[in-house]
Amino acid sequence: MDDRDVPDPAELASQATAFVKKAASVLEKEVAAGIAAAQSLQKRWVDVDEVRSRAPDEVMQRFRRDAHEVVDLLMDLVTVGVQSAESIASRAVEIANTETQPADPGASPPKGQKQNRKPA
Amino acid sequence: MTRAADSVESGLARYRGRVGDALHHYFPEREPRKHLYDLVRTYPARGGKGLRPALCMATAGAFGANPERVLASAAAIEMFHNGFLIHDDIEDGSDLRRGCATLHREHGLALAVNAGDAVFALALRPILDNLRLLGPALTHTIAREFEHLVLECVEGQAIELGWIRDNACALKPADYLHMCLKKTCWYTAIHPCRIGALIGSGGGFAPGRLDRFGFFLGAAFQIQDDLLNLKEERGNYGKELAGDIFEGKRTLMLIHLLSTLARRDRSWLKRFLAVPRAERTRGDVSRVLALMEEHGSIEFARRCSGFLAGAALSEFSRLFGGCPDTADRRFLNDLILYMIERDL
Repeated sequence: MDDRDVPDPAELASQATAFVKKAASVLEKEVAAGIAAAQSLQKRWVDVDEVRSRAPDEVMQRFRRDAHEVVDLLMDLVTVGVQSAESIASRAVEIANTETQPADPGASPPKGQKQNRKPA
Repeated sequence: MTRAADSVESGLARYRGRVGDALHHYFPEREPRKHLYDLVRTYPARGGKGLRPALCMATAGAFGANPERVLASAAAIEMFHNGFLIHDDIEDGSDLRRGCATLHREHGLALAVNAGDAVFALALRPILDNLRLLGPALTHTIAREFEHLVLECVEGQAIELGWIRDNACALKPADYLHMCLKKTCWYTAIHPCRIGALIGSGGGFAPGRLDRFGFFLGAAFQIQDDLLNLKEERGNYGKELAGDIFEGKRTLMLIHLLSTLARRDRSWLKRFLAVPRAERTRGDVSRVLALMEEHGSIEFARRCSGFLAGAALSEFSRLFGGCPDTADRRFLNDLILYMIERDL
């Protein structure tokens, strides 16, 4: 379009038609984005439900694994904090020794190997 | 007045009466009146059109619903609208609303913000009342409609306010449509129709089928409202004449103008939009208006709103063609015809 000219009626009609088509396209994109977001949210809900519906034994096993992971995390924090304090470092070793003899050995991951805490 | 305009006016008055009674029920009669609940009632008492609850009730009625089943949801829609208006007037720095001073001009910023918050909180009650009216499954579905309505509106408002703050001058019609969909159309037309259809069908109708109809109708309505802002005398319109230009609001007309001006006028317009609202003069606002006329921006917007209303009519025929010829269905039909015939 010329910068200084007022559009003629036919051109205006053409522009208005294009505008309505654009409106339909904008809506389709927005709705598609909304559906994708809703499905993503739904997936998260499904994951939670899945965990909740598991057998009590399996949930308890997971709790034990998570508890050991917490010990690992504490170990990491203690290790960082004791680099310049031998007395505290020796206590950390004691905790580490305890951690290598869990109540349920089969549930404990190898030392230093982290587990994903998110539900499968 | 044309037959369609007459029908729309009487239909709006009919729905407004019912929703007004419901609002009265949901606004508490207790203290603190002077600094809260009197403020909460101020905008509804000034008598807006009541378009949104009317769309909800008419759609529900066209689908065969008893009006009692939809009244709480229609009231909630109107309450959210009034809460948005209070905060919107503050965000835009507006002076007038429905012919009188805006709430923050009358009572100060702090009390107006608080009154807006109260309206949003009060709007939760009618949504919860749906449990008794509609049962848990449909109430949950309707509550999610409201969640989406509110989020889309605040996201759209953020986009528009961001454009003004950043002095965005390279916007395209598609940007306008995207903002208008989010800020206005979901809450003005799409969700009111969807909620009405869900209630009218007992949850059996797929509400997404109404999205196009609502978007076309809502966008046509918004563009016409923006055109009226440039045209109507203060007494008729209830807001400042050309207030949108004072605010630097990115209307379709302004976006069109920015894309058609020659470099010198465009540079002037960008400078005008860069200064704070309080420093804009009536003379400069008049110049922007004259440029919009000269460059066909107003005619372009007028055509776009007319074409959108035509597209809404086409969608309406497809969706409501099989519905019985009731007063609710006729109201929806006449509303679209009125928007097409309207002299802007």
